[in-house]
Amino acid sequence: MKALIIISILGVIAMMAEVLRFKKLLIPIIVLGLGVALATVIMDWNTDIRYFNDMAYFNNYALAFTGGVIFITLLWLLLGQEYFHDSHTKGEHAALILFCLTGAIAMISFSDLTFFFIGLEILSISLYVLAASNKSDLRSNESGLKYFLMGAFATGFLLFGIALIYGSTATFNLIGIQEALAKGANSPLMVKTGVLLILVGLLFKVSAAPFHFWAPDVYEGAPTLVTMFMATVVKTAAFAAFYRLFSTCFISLADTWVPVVAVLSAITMLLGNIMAVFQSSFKRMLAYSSIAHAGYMMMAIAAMNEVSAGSIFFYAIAYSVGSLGAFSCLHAMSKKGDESISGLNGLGKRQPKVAIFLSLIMFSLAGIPPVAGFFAKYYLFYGALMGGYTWLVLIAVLSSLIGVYYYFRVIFALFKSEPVSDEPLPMLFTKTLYFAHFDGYYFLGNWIVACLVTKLNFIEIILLIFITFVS
Amino acid sequence: MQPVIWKSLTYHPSHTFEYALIGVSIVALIVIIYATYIAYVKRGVLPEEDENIPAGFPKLLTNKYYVDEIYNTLITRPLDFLSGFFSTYIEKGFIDKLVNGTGPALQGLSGVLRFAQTGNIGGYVFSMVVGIIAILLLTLIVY
Amino acid sequence: MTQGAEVLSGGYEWVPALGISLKVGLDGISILLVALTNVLIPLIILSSFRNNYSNPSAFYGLILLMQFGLIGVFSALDGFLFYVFWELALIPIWFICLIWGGEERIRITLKFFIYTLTGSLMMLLGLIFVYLQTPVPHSFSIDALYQVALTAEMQGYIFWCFFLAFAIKIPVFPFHTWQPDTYTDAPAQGSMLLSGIMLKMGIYGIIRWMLPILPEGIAAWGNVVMILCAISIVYASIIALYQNDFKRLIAYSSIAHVGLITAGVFSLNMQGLQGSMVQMLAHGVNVVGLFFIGDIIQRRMKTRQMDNLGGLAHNSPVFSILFIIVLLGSVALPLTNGFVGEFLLLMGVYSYSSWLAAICGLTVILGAVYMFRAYQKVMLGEVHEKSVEFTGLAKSEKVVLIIIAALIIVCGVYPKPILSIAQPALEEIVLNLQGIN
Repeated sequence: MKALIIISILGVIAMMAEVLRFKKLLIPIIVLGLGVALATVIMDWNTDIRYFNDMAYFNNYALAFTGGVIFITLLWLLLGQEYFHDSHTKGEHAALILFCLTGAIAMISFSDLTFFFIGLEILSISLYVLAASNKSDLRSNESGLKYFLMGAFATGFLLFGIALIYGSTATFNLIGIQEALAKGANSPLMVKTGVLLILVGLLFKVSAAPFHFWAPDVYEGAPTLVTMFMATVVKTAAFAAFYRLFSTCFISLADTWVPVVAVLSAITMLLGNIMAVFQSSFKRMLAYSSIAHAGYMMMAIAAMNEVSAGSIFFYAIAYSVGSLGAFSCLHAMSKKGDESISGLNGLGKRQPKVAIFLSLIMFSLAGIPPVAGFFAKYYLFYGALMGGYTWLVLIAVLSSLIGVYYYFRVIFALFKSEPVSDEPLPMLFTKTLYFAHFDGYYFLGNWIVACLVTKLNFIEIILLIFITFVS
Repeated sequence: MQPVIWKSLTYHPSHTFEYALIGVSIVALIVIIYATYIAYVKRGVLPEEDENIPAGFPKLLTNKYYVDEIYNTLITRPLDFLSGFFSTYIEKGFIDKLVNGTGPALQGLSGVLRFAQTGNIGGYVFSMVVGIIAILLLTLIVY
Repeated sequence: MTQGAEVLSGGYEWVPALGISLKVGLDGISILLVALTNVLIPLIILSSFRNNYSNPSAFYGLILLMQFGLIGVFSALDGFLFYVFWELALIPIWFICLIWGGEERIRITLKFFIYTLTGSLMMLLGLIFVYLQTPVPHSFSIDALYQVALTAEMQGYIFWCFFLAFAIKIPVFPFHTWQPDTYTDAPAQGSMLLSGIMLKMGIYGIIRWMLPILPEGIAAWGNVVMILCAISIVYASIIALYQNDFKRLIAYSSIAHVGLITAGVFSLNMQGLQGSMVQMLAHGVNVVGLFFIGDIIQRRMKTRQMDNLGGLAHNSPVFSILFIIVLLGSVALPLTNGFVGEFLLLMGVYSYSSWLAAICGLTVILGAVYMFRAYQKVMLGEVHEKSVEFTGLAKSEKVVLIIIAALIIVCGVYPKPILSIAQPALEEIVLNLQGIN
């Protein structure tokens, strides 16, 4: 809870930066504030408190995910510095990102459907603006508008679902709903429809098929750094909310929604992976791959057993960390106006460190041992097999193989092809850039990501301690 | 090899049988040497040129009973043919095509599916609605 | 693996919550394969000294990383750890083929990787299945996995999950099509690593993980595997007759040889298993020798097409003698290592089925045909115009080939140490199988 309050105050401070003229100090203040928020999360570990008349419930599950999204946002800030370089928009952009994070934490920690909805809207509305934040770029405007229209449409279904649930149980509280449903609701058809409509709203947010159409267009149009934020923080928060809602209050209706989630999970992962094969734009490929990863994570929700929470958490973190790295490379490329995979050609010769780093990330996203993505996938498979979803796991295996097909195209471009230009990518370990701009964050951010991906054993054990407590 | 070959050969032929075999072969050898000596050395005849050898048994002998030719037609040539057939048709024509075909098939499927992504919001919303209706129908009414 | 057969072992906890440990150990079977790895890798490294690869530090680094993965595979006593090493061994060789490979490397390495990964992921599913059957708290340790009681039906499914992985790696017909391309296109050292050591991972996997865990699955499906092996022997040998590319010829001959090894393993008796151990070592040494010979020829003549070669023996008698020794080992002449292995394997298969043994015996005959034909085309016959420039062996090349030739003869004349090292561990496996069936 403290983290939620700290971050919303930070958002307000960021808005005031313009007026009170401390824009130069803004980013350090935010980093500091997020650090403090992360510290309060760690201090709150094992407290298990319900706030505001049971509107928000911070148990270890919520705390772990809160810590996770704050951590990813910190990494994002370190890698995505350039998003705040334009001093006119600096304050607004920072405030929007922070409010987005506030919404994410509300979505993670809700214990009441109203609070959930407030969180979702705070997150979404900030995102609509962020997606369109590159005012001079037509694609960015299109992306923001598209996201807004479709998001509003999906929100309508979500609200309708909540209303139907309220209508039959007369409460918004998760525990209240759970108890009412366990007793047997007044009108089963109404409840079931409500649950399915809420499911639709959430499936839209996590970009599952057939509600995924917005994702590639929005991801491609939005500024790369915003896409990076959407693919990591927002996706993690959406899955946290998804799991919390369906593992607690709708668990007694599992027969209704579990088959839907299982089938859509299979379709999503297949579709995302197959569509990614054809893309020559790196950004669009990552967008489709993010759809596919949503499909994998839905396996854990379909399986709904004691390892689900842990495996979603681990997968979300591993995937986010991998995506951060991939998008930061993409961002460096897109500064030169080239977002195609062939723009990476010959990087292995020009900047071997960057190339090795990016191939590790690709290995991680493809789920090949011994990097983090493999362990994440392993837990998902394990949980799904335990839940008896052998067919789903077989489809997941198949689509992972398709995944290898396109992730490896990136590695081929890095190591096989001849360089397109001798100009190095302006990023990461490039010393000139590092010293000239004194942009220490770049190096630090990528270093942490690289450590997360490679020094797996350490992180593994730490995360497993998390998982053991969460589940 | 002792740890492996536990059962040794147990059949031993008798010694007389072995001696008899040796004796017979030595006698046959001596007879043939003597016959050849009489036929060529004593009579002082040289063998004829290859072309003039009359048909029948002598010709058969000159061509070593045609063993090489028979071997060639019966074994070498079919084997070579089979090798070419396996390599061209089964290996490259069938198995390899089947395996390699997955890549283009996937590309093709991806290329077709990509047309669903029109960029038109109306189409997206429509497919969402279809999805919702399908989910509701299948879940609530059919099952 | 029980205490009796185990020689060395040790371990740490890795992920205690999921029953995953970093447990490694050696018994007779693994010792031989670890020894093979550690003998061959220095030879492979030495053999590359005259190749002048670009970026040599990365090249040798990857070879050593590969060695790490291979030793891990051969010594892991934890199912999960085995899987991780299994994949870890794949990544360096993939990079070696990708960076230093031939013209078509992108297509070929992609096929190679996806093909082998398909098998591996199926094996992972199989492993998780077995793991879920261990008593709570589940454990991946080999002892726990060995004690799992699975129904016959379940064993059948898991059998195919595992076998797919191993059959692709070995490779057994009809999962072999990645292999000739990859061997041909990889740099010589890559082919040596792949064929000399890496494919042994598959056979080792069968002996270590399939025979003890899935006895009933093997009883049900072993005959199918035997038939596949017989097909792969005949099929690959016949195709080898047709090949003009020296490397491709070795690739197909390798399929035939390992087909026989796999058949020996699945004959499930002492001779077959002993033969497979000896032959794994012998094949490793011989095939590395053959690929090295191919590399020596290619480096000097810039071609591997046997039609464009001929009369090389004229210029370098030492080379031709060493070549013939390696070749004799490979066609299993008595007093070479290949003979011991193939003889035992054929005996093993014979006690399984005399018909199959007769078919498998073809590998020796056809092997002699295509190998001698190759020798004739390359070394003897008309001196090809280019062959005049063929220079004698350099020192590092001589050292490698002489060591290989010596290994071929020593193991052929005195195979007893190999047989007795593997004996206890194999006996245990056979007894366990006989107890079930």
